[in-house]
Amino acid sequence: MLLLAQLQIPSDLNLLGLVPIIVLGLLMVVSLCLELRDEPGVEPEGTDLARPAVLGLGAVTLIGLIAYYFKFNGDNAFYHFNQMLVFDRLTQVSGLLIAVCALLAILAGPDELERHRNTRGGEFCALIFSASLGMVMMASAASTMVMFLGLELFSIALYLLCIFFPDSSASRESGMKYFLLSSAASAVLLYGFALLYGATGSTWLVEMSDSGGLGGPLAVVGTGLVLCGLLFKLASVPFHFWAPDVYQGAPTTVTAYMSVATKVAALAALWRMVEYLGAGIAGQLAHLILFSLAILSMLVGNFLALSQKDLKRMLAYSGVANGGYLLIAPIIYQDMQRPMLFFMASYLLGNIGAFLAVAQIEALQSGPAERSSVVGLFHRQPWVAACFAICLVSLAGLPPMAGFMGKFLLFGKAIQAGNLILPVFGIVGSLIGAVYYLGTAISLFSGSAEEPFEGDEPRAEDAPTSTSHAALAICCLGVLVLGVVPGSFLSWL
Amino acid sequence: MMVSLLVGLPVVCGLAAYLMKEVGSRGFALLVMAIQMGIAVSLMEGAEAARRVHQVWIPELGLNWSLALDGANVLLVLLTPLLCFLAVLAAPRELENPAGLAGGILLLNGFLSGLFLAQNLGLFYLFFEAMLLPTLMLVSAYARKEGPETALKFLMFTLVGSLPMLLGVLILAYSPDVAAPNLDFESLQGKVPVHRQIYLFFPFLLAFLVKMPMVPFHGWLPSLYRNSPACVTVIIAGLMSKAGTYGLMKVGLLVFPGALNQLGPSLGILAVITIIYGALSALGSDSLREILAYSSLSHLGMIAFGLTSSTANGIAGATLQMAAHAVATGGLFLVVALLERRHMPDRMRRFGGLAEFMPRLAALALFLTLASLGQPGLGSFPGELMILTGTWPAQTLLTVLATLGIVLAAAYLLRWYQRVFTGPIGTYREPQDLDSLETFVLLVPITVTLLIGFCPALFLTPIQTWLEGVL
Repeated sequence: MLLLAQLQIPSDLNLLGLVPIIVLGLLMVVSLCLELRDEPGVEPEGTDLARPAVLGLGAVTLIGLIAYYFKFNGDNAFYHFNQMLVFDRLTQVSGLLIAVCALLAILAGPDELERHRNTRGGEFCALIFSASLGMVMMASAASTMVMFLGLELFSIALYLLCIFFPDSSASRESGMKYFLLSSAASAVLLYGFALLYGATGSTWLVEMSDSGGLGGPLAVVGTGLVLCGLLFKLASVPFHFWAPDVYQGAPTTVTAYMSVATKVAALAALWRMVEYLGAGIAGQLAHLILFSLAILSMLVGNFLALSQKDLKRMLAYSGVANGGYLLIAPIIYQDMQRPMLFFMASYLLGNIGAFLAVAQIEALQSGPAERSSVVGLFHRQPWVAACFAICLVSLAGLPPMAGFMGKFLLFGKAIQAGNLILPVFGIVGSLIGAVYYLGTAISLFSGSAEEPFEGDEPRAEDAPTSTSHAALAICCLGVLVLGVVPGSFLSWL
Repeated sequence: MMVSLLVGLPVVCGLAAYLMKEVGSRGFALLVMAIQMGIAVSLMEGAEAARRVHQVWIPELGLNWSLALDGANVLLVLLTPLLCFLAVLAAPRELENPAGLAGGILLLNGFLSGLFLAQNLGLFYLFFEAMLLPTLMLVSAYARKEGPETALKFLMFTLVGSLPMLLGVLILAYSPDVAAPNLDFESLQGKVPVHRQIYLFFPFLLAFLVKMPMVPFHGWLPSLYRNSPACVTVIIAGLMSKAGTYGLMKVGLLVFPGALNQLGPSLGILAVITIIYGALSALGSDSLREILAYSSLSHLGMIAFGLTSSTANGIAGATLQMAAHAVATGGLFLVVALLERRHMPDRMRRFGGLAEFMPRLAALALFLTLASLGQPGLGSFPGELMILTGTWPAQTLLTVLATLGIVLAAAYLLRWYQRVFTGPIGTYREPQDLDSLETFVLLVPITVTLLIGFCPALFLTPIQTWLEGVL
């Protein structure tokens, strides 16, 4: 009772702003409970309704959440929950993108679990919801404490998701690697937050920037450490080493989800750090670090992707490069939020679509998807190949796909802000990128149907079901729609 | 609105054609392109207002859906569906996936029409890049050999040219002194100060020179022309190469007239080098397709020579020559496509005496060969003559050298014809002569080239009217 009495209800409690967090939390608990109903090791009798129930509930709720984000007007930014959280356009669009990632993951995930004879579908969904909850918190954090809380919440869920197939050594390796490296990065981030607190006497971003303590050496070191922690999540060079290994080993649906959703959350946090720490020497340092790392990421990521044989590794390095393009936005900052979010949306659709296509390819040829093994896929699986090609072309940034509009807007706005160097490197990077994206897309169409397919025939029950087809179709349609009629989404942003 | 159909119809139907099964996709594509031609012709006859459409698309990017049929593009817009129509007719009979071919050609046709019609630089760039996709697909899937390698090489060359162009477009739209980005040609016309034109023009120039191509950017040309299926090469040689020359004319004259004037002489030298280089390479080659590829290169050099002359005669002649070259080179590749249907070899030394078995093809091919080498009375003659009269006063020496290209063209094209159709009989099984449909395929370009040859004024008037408004 004493404990309860000590609980204070925040005076600025705003339920509307809290809805996504509450909903995702409840969803996580409910899907876990539905899973717990079965005794372990005992086959459920009759048809198992738990999984469709979790899936249906999750999908409907997430669609509701997406609609909520679309409907809610974030034009007037406000702080709430003891001023720990902020609700503005950035929170809103980030939350929307994270919800879309989660929706695509739970649509496509069950197929992959099925293929690995894994029956813990409810757990999978619960972990996805938990990760999304953390990401939404991180994206809406107005305090370094909440930011860190969100980061840990989604990181822990992602460790578990990476290691979700403990029978596979690749998955174990992936989870372990991610756990070790990411917790080190979290520690660095936390240390940075602590130093910033020491310098400014506050964990609240607004107060930190007002305190005037951002000029000292403590703040400079702290800012550097915070950037390291956030750039790790963004997989920017030189913090990108984990990405290919983790992405390759993790279940493909999880890779699809985490490759984009973590970037959304980390980028939102980075944006806020730049927003509040922008002035003073710490801000200048941040600018310099981000500037050089953005260019390095664009070049290194694209170059390393060129020589990859495994498609997931290739896409991992492509993610490094895309992280570099995204960094252009916080570097220039002024007027860059909308281009950043639009590019993020186009990257989300293209990248998740590509990973989901890889997942389907894995299912169809029962083995890892390599660049050599997808040659002539168009003649065997025209639909999957066409979707994969559309997503790759979008990632390459060619019209009429979303990726083109994203790059056009991002680079164009950067030029408008008077910065020509970053777009030039961005275009050089895109040129290198086009080689492997389009090289893969071209090889999908080559060869002929006569050629025998080398590899194991897939088991019939492993063939992708309608939900994963739906997820892939959503990505492809989205890529085309955002590419051809970007106007309405752009004006909403 | 009708103008949009010229782009929208083939693109939408192209996507639909992919979904079709084997049966009917070819007929469907032919029907769509026939309708498209009908629309184009009716637009030419129709009211002025129907020939243009202007719709704000993404104001923030300065991108407008702005298309218009004008004197500069009318010939190319008419020829695009026509050549694609013939290409589908001349495609190999037994194909694994005819729907893919029909869909790809329809898409390419739509994007090319969009490129020629675009009145907005952003839209122009969009189509310039978009047409790569169906081309890569067609080359990769239907190549005679080495499909993916050829496609990738082509892709690399084109992107090295065109991605800097994206930078140029962005700088034009977003330079800090521009209040509201607007990429319409109309609003860009005369807006770029001369001192900025030079360095802004370079990325555009690079893209166009690679696309044409001009020496030394022609690395992709021989392998692409040699390895692609001939029915696709018809479109690449006949129309896609015109994306480069047309872009040079449109963007150069409208947005960067000062830069085009200043760079004209040096570009003229490059063009003449291309003319001679192409001609000599064609003389030295033994491949049926390569000779035509280099011949096309040489003739495109002539077009570029006219475009960079900064004279009304030179530019008008070059514009007319674009259409004439599309028909003549496209026609010659149609001949190759028909030979490909009969599984004929590519090496010339294995040919000979084909006229004995295929008198019809021999007669029609002779016509197209003569049209290509500039025989008076046929398509290429008026255009080349106008180019040379235009360049003569200012660049006499270069003009003399360019004329050498015409002489050489007679040599290599007649050698091509002679080796294939006359002389001792080569090593192949006795081929069937053309059936009536195939005869029709070749008669169409012959008719057009005769029309251009005998009544050039008919085609020149709209071009000259347009030029008067621009120069």
